[in-house]
This record gives sequence, structure tokens and C-alpha cells, in this order.
Amino acid sequence: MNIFNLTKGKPKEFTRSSYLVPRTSLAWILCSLVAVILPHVVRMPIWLVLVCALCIIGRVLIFQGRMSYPGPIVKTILVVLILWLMVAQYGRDVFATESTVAILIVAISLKLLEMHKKSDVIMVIYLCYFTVIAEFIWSQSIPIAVYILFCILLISAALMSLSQTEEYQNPFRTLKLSALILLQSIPLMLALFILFPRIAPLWSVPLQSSTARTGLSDSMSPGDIGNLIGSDELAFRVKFNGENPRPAELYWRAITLDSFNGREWSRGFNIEPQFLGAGARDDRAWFQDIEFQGDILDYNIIMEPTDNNWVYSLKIPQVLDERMIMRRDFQVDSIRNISQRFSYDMRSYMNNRLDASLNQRELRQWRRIPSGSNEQSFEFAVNLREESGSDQAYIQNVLAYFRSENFFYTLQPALLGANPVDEFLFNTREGFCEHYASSFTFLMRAVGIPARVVTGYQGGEYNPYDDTLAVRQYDAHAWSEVWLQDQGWVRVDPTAAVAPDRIERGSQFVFQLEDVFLQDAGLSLLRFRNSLFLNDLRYRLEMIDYSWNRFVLNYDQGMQFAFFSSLFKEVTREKIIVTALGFIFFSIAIMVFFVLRKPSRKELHPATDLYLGYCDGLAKQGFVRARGETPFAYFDRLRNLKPAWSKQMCDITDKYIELVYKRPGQLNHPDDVKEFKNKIHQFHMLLY
Amino acid sequence: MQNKIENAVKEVGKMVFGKEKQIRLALCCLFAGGHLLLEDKPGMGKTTLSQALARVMGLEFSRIQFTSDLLPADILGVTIYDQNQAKFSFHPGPVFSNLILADEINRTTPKTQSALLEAMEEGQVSVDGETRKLPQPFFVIATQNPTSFAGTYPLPESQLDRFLMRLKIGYPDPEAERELLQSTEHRVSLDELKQCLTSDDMKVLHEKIGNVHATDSLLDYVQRLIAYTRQGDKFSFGLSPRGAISLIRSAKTWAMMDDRSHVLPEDVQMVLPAVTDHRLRAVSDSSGRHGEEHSQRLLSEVDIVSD
Repeated sequence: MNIFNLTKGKPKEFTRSSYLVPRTSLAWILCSLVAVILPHVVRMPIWLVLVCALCIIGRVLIFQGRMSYPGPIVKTILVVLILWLMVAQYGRDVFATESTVAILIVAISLKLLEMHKKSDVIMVIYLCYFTVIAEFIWSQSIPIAVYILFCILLISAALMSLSQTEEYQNPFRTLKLSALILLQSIPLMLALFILFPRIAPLWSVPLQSSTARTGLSDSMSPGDIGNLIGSDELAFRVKFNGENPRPAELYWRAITLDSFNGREWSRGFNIEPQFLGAGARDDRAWFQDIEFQGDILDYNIIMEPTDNNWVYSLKIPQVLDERMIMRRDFQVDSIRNISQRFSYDMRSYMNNRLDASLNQRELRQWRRIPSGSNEQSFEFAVNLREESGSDQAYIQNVLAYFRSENFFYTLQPALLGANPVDEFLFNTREGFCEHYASSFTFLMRAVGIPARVVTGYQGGEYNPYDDTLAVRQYDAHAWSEVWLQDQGWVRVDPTAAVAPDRIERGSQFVFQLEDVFLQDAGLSLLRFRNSLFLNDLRYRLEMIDYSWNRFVLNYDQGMQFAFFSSLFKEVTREKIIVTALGFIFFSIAIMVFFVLRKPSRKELHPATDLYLGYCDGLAKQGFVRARGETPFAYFDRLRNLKPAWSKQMCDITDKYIELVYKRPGQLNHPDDVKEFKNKIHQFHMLLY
Repeated sequence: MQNKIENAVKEVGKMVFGKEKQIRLALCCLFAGGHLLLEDKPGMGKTTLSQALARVMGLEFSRIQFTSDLLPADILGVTIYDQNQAKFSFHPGPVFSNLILADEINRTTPKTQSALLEAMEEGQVSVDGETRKLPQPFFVIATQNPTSFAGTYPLPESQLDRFLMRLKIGYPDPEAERELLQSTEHRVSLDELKQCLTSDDMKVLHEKIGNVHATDSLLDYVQRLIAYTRQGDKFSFGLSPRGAISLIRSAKTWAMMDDRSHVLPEDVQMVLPAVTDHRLRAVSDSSGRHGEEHSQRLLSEVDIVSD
């Protein structure tokens, strides 16, 4: 037989399936793949999930030998089919983030069906690492972070099991090893987190679904704010430097609404172009005209994304942040849309006079009301103004009217028609804050007092653990501002006249019995406000969440510079980079040291360690143990030299021999070692 | 059982004065199931010791005097044509007994030496293509003159390794010598020695040796000893694994003889010279004829409790 025929005639199958993925490895890969796909499932079309599941099952069948690898034609058909379906599913959004991640996932799943070589397996594993991080695009909460850590643990186990030999294939051993490696990497992770230069993203990720967010909008019609009351979503969190203000002072301004069409309030006109450079704003005359007075209140706000550009502030703030500008109507805007959690510092003055010196021509804009609607109210206003005599008295009378007539503050007011102010004031008389703010402002404008509606949030809930104020959607509120001669813009909250509890104790107190309250919140812990334990738990969870948001997610260049300025006098980007690189090299050096270091002396029996200490003690007294001297021989020699210590030495030697040589294995009771330690300790006391 | 061992030591001591340590080591070697090499100058009592050992252990004993013209067949036996029965029959040689005294083993040719050494290692001999089992237990006590003496064929290292221990008897101390001189006239004859141990006793002893345990710390010490012989440039070659096993087995036997079920460093130190001296060769001693006591170096240089 020709020996060369052997190599020539090798069956084709052998060359193809030459690499067999180790059993444990495959199990870990499939586990981690499932774990990686799981959080993405909610954003994937159902058929795609099915495709992934089929690929995984197919891979198992291939491993068991019940199925062979699909041929090139089958694979091509599969890929084309899936791509076609993807385009059909996503249409023009096929390059948005959701769909690209979905394509990535389905690609990994398909790759499972052609893992012929070890490099294929490694590629699948690396892609898993990549995909799992993609989840952070959508959520950066603590549970997700923990889950992703868990995924990384699984993927690392898969990667590790790939290079393990047959006898080390216990899957849990692999998992343990993986956990160990992850734990070891924590210091490096922290260092990189703190030290790595923070660069603004080079590109922004287009999200296909700019999901409808709950929150204020830039217009207000009756019922808008009432809808928010069903939601317990966080709007923002505040941390005050210094004392916390009283709840009644917590009017968080968001949007100033100037224009009224008879039903809806909107930001109808802009007195100044909206986006002025940060440097230009100080030159503006009206800006100089703000008289800041009263107590200074510094605070930090972390607001949830709104996809709009207004930010929240108390009273009239002094804008310190480069990223924000103040508009002519004292609304503070961010320069960018807030599509991520946004942290900023604010300084407010609790007293100030705004626009006290406006002339009549400028004020005209805040007196406009549409003609031909709400006529009944108009008449009522004019009559009341005549009775009152002055603007101030008129305001008081209107508030008194709200208070004395049978007005109800409710979440479920009757629906209003074409002339909402009329219907509210004279028929239904039940409404939520926007009804009161809207009709009050209308009544002011009707008699020529400049007035406008401000929406935002009122109050909030202090967390006793970290002293932060959480403001939620159900704290949404609307109130009025009127312009009075010599006083400028003054805040008037008609709701306070009707329902003072709303201002003093918060909406959750006023509405907790109404069905609508928290109706969208699901199984929120907020529902169990009356359970002390659950409420406490909620406070603690919120505290953790706040710290996470503030110190982890919002760790930016500013915080990094602040951190470095505690190290150096002068912080420059170069110094940060040098420090970061230095640290990385340092950690690599440590690792290299541990790898290259000669194996250290074997781990000694704990008693031997102690016994060596005993020998050292004696050696200092001049009685050095010879290297080849057995414990007993050593004792025997010393017994004659130092009879005074004989008893202790005898005890120690006996105990040592008992611990180290008499018992098989390491079955020593820790107490015995402790006792031995005490003996040696006492002997040392004797020596000195 | 301990009494029996003590009795055996005492009985042998009646023949060999003042050599209790050597007697104990020799017994230890036999209890451990190893072969013993007695090396000393002529007239030091090698033969006496081995005869006494055989006697107290109650073993079937045969003695082979090795000479330069001894042939393997003289040891193993021969197949002879028996005319009466009209067939070949095997006449076993002296090797077919429990204890063999191979006197002056280094006076014979390597060919004959190896015939015995195969028997020592395998516990069987091959004669005329037929493998025959030797009786159990099977011990060899070989004596030899120091290799520097005239008319010797030194045993190669490979064969020395097969002896569990090599003992030197040495001159008796003055007291023992005096006793020896006094008793020349009415010396106890070999036949008067009592048998102290039976083959059943040997089984019990083996079992007891099996129950002796060595802790990790002790094994660490043994390994340090072995590593010391293998590292560095002090020895031309270190201890073989067989040598290492011999060391721990001897130490266990010694511990058993001391009625302990655990090994102490003292046990190792006690058997170390006998077990290792003939297996080691210093770099300076290229011919291996000096037979220095390397073990002293091991005993003093290797730390017992730690590296």
C-alpha cells in the first residue's frame, strides 16, 4: 500500500469538523449568548428572537451530531432572507441603533452555525462582549450594570473554558476562576474610570424610538398637568448646599407661557433670539436690570432626560453654568437638548425684583387675550376691577373669589369646551392647578395687568438618608406671575388659595385617595407610603440611585478635574494623561512581577510559621537552631543550657510536634493552632 | 509486637557486641522488605550479623560465597538430565531460600552479580527460559569489602540502588571490645540464638508499617532533602525516585519500630545515612571509590522546618 495515499485520501468530513468545541465551552458560550440577548429582546421583533433561538438549538444539535453544519447555499439563503426581513421590518430606520444591534445579535447567532475553527469561537465570544455593552445605550441603571457584570462573568468563563485542558473542565471551576479574574480587575477598572481622560462623544447615537417621555410640554391646556399626576417618574433630584428651604418656597420654574389662544397657553413669542452665546448675555440691558436680593441658595440638580432644553430652577437663578442661558422671560434653557441625565449647579436668590422698569410698550405682550372668547369671564373681571380700586386689591379679590365660592381642587375635573375659562369659573368650578393658573392669568390680562403662566414643579420629597429632594412627575404644577408697578414680576399661586395643602404638604398628600393618582405607576413602592418599612426601603434605594447617578453616571471632565485638583496644584490634561498612563504601566508592572516572580517559598503549616517565630526569639538570645536540628534535638540542647525555660520549651516542642507531625494532612483544629500561638506568645513574654 | 522486636535486637546483640544501632537499622531494612548491603573491612562481623539476623527472624537461610569464578548457575540452579526418570529436572540453586547471605559480593564478576541482582529486584529468576518465583519473603544480605581492596569488582550505581540500605559496622568501642575479648572462650554459638519473629509476625509488621503516616510537613522535609541532592553542584547525581521511596519507607519502618504511627524528622535523620550514602556520589569523587559519608552534609545543611 502506498503510504502517500493515506494523506491524499483523507475523508472530507474530517478536515471540516477538525475542531470540536469543548463541551463546557459550548455550554458557557450558549449560556452567555442567551444572557446577552435577553435584555435586548424587548426591542427586537419577535421573529428575530425566534431566529436566534433556532440558531442556538441548531448549534446544540450540531454538537450532538444530529445535524451537520449548513452548507454554503443554505447559509447564503439564510443571510439574504434575514437581511430582507430586517429591511422590511425597519424600513428607513435600518441604520438606527436598535436595528443595528438587532443585526449584530442575529449575526452572532448565525455565526454559531459555522463555528468550524477555534478562531470562530473566539470571535463569537468577543462579539458577545461587544453586544452586552450595547445595552448601556438604553439604560445605565444599577440593576442593568449588575446584570451586565453577570454577563461578562459568563462570557469570560466561556473564553476561559476554551483554553482549559480536558481534566479541568468542571464548569463551576471555570466560573469561579472567571469571577476571580473579574475581582482582580476591579482596581484597574476603578483606576481607569477615575483617571481615563473624559472626552465628549465623537458621534451621537441616533435612537430610533425617541420614546414619548412623561413630563411637561411647552404648551398647556386644561388637563395637561392633571395627566402627569398619574406618574411617579422622577423628574429631577436636588441637593441643597446648606439648609433646605421650606416646601412652600419650592416653586421649580421650568417653562414660561406667554401666549393664550382662549384655551391653550404656549410659548408663543420670544422677545429675544433664543440662543445667545454665553458671553453675550451679560451685556443685555434687561439682564442688568435684575436685582438679586435675599438669601443665596446653592444647589445641584440632576434632571432626568426630557428631550427638551429647559432646565429647572428656583426663583430667579444666576446662571453660572456655561451650558445654559437665560431667556428674556427668565426661563433657563440648556444649550443642548437634554437627552441624557443632566447634572448642573444653580444659585438662586430668594428675593429679587425683575423687570421693575419695563415700559408699557414692552408690557403689551403680556396683556394680550384673544377677543371673542371667554366673554363672560372678561365682563366679570372688568366689574371686579372697578369694585376693587387697585391692582393689588383686585388680585386679592380674585383669590378671595376662588376661596369663597365653591371651587374644588380635584384630579378629575369635568371636561371643558370652547370657552374653558367661562365654564370653569361659572359652571364646573372644579379643576386642577392649570385650571386655576389659566383662569387667574386670564382674569389679570382681562383688566390690563401683565400676567403669564409658569409651569414647573412644586414641592418634592426629602429623602431622610441623603437629604436630597426628589421631585416627581406628580409634583407638576402651574402658577401665575403678574407684573406690578415698582415690584416687577410677582408670583401668585391661585391653587394655594383653593388648596393650601397642595403647597404645604405636596400632591401625594392631597391626592393619595384618588384613583387617578399613580394610576400609571404600576407596582411602585410609592404606593406603599403608609408602610414604614417599605417607605424606608424606598428612601434607601433612592439614596443609592442618587449616588450612582451623581458620582458614577455624571462623572465627567469637571469631576475628574476636581478629583485631580486635590492631587496637584495645577491640573492640566497632560497631567491627567500621564497619571493615567503611569497607573496603567504600574499595574501592568505589578502583574508582570507576579507572573515572573519565582515561586515563593511554599506555604507553611501555620504552626511552622509560629515555631519559626519561636526559634527567632531564641536565636536573638544566642541560641540559634542549626538547620538540621530537629525540634526535639533543639529542645534537648537548650534544656541543659537554659533550665529555667525548660518547661515552656518542652510544652512548645511537644505541641509543635503534635500539630505538625502527628496528625495526617491539614486536619488541625484552628483552636489548637491558637493555643499554640498563645504558648509561643507567653514564651516571648518570658524572653523579654 | 514491640517486645518481639526488642527481643530480636537483644538476641542479635548477643552475637554482635555494642552495635545496637546497626542491628536496629539492619532489622529496619529487613522489616521494610529491602535488601541490605553490609560494607566493611574483613573480620568486622558482617557475616556474623547476617547469620544472627537470619536466625532470629526464623528465615530459611543459605549462604553463597562469591568468588571470582562463581557462575550464575551456581546461584540460580541448573537443569540436569535425570537418567532414572529420563528427563531434564531443575535443581534449584541457593537463591531459592528466604534469606541469602551473599558474602563478598564484589569479589565476583559482574555477570554473576547481575544474576543475583535480577532476583533481588524481580523476586523471580529465569533459568533456561523458564521463570521461577522465589520464596517469599526474599531478602538478600550482601557483604562487601570496601572497593579499594584488592580483587574487587565494584557494584555499579544501578545495582547499588537496589539495596535499601548500606551499613558499615565499624570497629567496636573499647567496652564492647573488652567484652568480646573476655567472651572468646564461651561464646554463644549461633544455634543457641532464639527465634524471635515468625513469618506471621512479619505480616503484622508490614501492616503496621502501612499504618504509619507522614504529614505534609514531614514530606516537605523529605522533598527538601531530595531537592538538595539534585540541585547545585555538590553531587554528580541526585537521589532517584526509588531512593526517595526507600527513604520514606525506611523512616516509616523506623517509626513503627519505635511504636509510633507517625514519622518524625528524627526517623528520617536516623535512616538517612544508611539509605542514601551508597546512592550518592560527590562531584569530587568521580570514580565512586571513596564512599564518603555524604549524608552528614544533608543532615546539617537541609533545614527541617522550612526552606
